Amino acid sequence: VQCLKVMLVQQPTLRWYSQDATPVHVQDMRVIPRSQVLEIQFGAAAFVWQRPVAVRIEHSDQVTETPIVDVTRIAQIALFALVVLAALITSLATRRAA
Amino acid sequence: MIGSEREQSTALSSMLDKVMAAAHSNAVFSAPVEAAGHTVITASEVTAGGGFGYGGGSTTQPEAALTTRPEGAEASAASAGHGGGGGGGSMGRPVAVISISADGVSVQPVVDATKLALTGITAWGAIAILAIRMATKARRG
Repeated sequence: VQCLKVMLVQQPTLRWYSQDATPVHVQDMRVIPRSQVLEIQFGAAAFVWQRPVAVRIEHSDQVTETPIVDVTRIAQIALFALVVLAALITSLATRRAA
Repeated sequence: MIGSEREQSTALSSMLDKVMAAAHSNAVFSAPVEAAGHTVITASEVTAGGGFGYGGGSTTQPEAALTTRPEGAEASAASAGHGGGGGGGSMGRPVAVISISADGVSVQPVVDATKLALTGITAWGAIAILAIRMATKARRG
């Protein structure tokens, strides 16, 4: 019960950090996937968003990092930007006509 | 139905643990699968959220109300009640497939065609509405 009360009165927390997943060993390669996490906790409510960002490859003293591109999200943002642009153009054209 | 405060505390801890499990790296990257000389890991975007609330209260009837009660009516000096509720959800979407082989590592993106189609329809719908409005205003002007 005390634990519940402490949870309810604690300060809201917001954390944004990167974390590495368990490394995968394939032959002499070591592959470490990396993700970004957003954690929001407010009293008895919590929200977590996590997305993959990159893959770190360690191969014979060479370290390379390959980004993980979210094609769907980029396309969605592009479409949203297109609508905003269309709205701006329409607004400007209507004002000029008036 | 949630009864005691202990049960509420347990339910809250359990629910918050489930939400916070989405912050673990295992939630985003799958366990490696080996097939035909390739080790494959899927990478997904994960979102989870939840909330819980509870409350209680008690009322005490004034003494006058008790003395003027009709005959045969039960005296109830005080009543109390409490309750709680909560909810949550999570969502996952594949983002890419990481393929590891002797030749190297490749990251192949996963395109969510349904999501893109829905966004596209919404976007073109919004543009169509704007175009119609503009045409209507131009006709009036």
